[in-house]
Amino acid sequence: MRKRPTNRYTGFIKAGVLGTFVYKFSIFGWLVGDIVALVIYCFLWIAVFANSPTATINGFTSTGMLAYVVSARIIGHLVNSSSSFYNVGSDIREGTIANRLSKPINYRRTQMYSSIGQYIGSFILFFFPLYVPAQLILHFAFGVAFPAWYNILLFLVSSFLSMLIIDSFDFIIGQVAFFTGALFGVMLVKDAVMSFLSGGMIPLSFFPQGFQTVFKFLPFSSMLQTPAFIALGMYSFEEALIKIAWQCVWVVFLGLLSYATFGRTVKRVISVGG
Amino acid sequence: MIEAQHVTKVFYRPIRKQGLSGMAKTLFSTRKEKIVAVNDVNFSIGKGEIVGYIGANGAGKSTTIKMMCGILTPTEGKILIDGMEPYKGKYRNKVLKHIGVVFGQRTQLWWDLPLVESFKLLQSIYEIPEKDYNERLTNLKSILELDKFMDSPVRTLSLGQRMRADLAAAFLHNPDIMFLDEPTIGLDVLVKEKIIAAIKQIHAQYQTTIILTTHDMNDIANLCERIIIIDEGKILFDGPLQDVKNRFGDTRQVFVSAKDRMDLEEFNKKFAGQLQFEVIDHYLSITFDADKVQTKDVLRYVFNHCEVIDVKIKENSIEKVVKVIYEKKAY
Repeated sequence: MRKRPTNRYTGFIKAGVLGTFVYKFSIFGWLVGDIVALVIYCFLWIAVFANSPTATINGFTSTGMLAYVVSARIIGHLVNSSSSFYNVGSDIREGTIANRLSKPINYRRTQMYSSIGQYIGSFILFFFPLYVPAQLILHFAFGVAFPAWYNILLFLVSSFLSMLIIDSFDFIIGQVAFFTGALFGVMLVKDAVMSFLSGGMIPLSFFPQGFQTVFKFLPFSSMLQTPAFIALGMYSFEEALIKIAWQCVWVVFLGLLSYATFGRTVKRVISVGG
Repeated sequence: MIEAQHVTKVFYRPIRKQGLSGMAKTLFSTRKEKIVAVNDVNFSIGKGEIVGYIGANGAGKSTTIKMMCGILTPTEGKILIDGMEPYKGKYRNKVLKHIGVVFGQRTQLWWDLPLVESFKLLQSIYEIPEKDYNERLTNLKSILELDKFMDSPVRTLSLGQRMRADLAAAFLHNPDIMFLDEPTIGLDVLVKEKIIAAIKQIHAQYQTTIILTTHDMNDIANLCERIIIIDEGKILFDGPLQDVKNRFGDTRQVFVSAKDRMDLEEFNKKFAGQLQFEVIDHYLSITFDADKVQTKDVLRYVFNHCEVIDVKIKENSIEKVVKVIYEKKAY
C-alpha cells in the first residue's frame, strides 16, 4: 500500500529541531549580541525622538518605535531560522549533493521540512525566552499594550509563512553562491539587504514613496514587517488577513521558483562533475 | 539486474585560461571543451554478483556510478536497472528505493546530529517498517561494531567510525544493489579489513548485488570474482578476476635480507632461469611465476644457502597487472 508521500519528510522536521538544539551555545552568543544591539537601537531612537520637533515620525511615536525595533529584531531571528542557504551552498560545493540526490526523495522538500523543524526549535529556544520578557519590559516600563489574543494567533501563522518565504528565497540564493563560489560573501550581502528591505532596521514607511511602491511588488515586506506589524497590533483584523494572503502568494511563487531553479542547477552542477 | 547499453557521457567544460587576465577572458568566453567521460560502455551485472569496477583516477568510474544511481543522464545509450532507467523522472524514486550508495569521500550522514538520528531519518526516507528497521540495525550494529558511538554526533567520529556508519546507513533499507565508491579510502589496514569482512558478511546474508570501485587491489582480491577495468571511458577488460591472473601469470615476490651473499647465478640455474633478482631497500627481491616455481622451494633454497635475517612474501599480482593494463591502455 502506498503511504502519503509527506510521511517520508516528517523525519526532517525532527532533525531540524535537533539541529537547532545542537547549536544552543552559539544561539546564546547571538542572544548576548542581540541584547547589546537592542539597547543601542533603543538609545538611538530615544535620542532621535528627543531632538525631533514633532512627537511622531512617519506615524510612529517614540514608544511605538521602540516596540517596533525590539520586536522586529527578535522576530527577525525567528523567521530567519532556516539554514537552507548554507545547506544548499555547502552541499553543492562539497559534492555531498550527489549523496542527497541518490535518495528517493525531493531535495528541495527535505530542506523545507528541516527548516520547519528549525523554526520550531528556534521558537522554543530563542523566540519565547526573549520575546516574552521584552514584551513585559515594554508593557511595564513604557506602557506598550499587550497584543490581542487574535493578533498572537495571526502572528503565529504569519511568522510561519515568513519563514517559508525566506526559506525559498535563501534556497534560491544559495544556488547563486555556488556559481560565484563565494558562499560567505553572498551570505553577508544577502543578510544586509534582506534585513534592510524587509523592515528589520527601520519600518518600510520610512522609505521614500517611490521605493515603497516598488516594495509592494517585492517579497521583502512579507518576510518581516508583516508578522512584526501583526504582533504589535498595527494592522486591523482585515488588513492582517490581506497581508497574510499576500504572504501566501509569495510562499507559492517563491516555492515554485525554488523547485524550478534547483532542477536547472542540478543539471549544471552534475554536468561539470563533482 | 543491471544493464548498460552503449552508454556514453559527454561533458562540456568551459575552457579556463591561466592567470588574472585569463580569468577575465574566461568570464566572457563561451568556448567549451568536450570531455568524453564514458565512451560506449556495455556490461550486464546479474543479481548477487560482486563486481570490481576499477580504473585510474578520472577513468570514468564515478560517472558511470552516478548514471546508475540516477544522478546523471547518459548522453547516449541507456542504463537499465530491473528494466527501468533510473535517471528518468517517472522511475527515479522507484529505482532509488532499491539502491544504496556509499561515496567513500563524502558522508551521507547528517553532520550535526547523533548517529542514531541519521539512521532514523533514513528509516523515514525509505519508509522502513519498525520491525525490519530494528532487526537490521541490530544486525548491522554488531557486524560493523557501531555500539560505542551510536549517540555521538557524526562530526566527532573518526574516519574509520564514520565509514562504518556510512556503510550501515547504506545497507539499512536492504537495497538490492549497492554501489560502493572507494569505501576504504584513507583507512588504516585494520579498519579496511573490518570493512571488507563486513561487506562479505552482509553480502552473504542479504545477497546484495555489489559494484565496488577502489584503488586498493587487496579489496578487489578479497571481494570480487569479476572485474571490469575502465580507462579513458572505455572498458578494457570485463571478466573473471582469475582470467586476469592467469593471463599475466600469478607472480610472487620474495624479499630476503641475509647476513651473507648468495651466488645468484647458481640460484637461478637451480630454478631453470625462472627467477628475477632486484635489490630494493637492502632486500634481495626474487620474483617468479607461482605456476612454475613453488614458493616453498625458493624459501628452502634461501634458508639452506645463507643466514637469513628477515623474509617477506608479496603476492601483488593484480596490482601489477592493473598497472600494466593502465600503462598499455589495453588488455
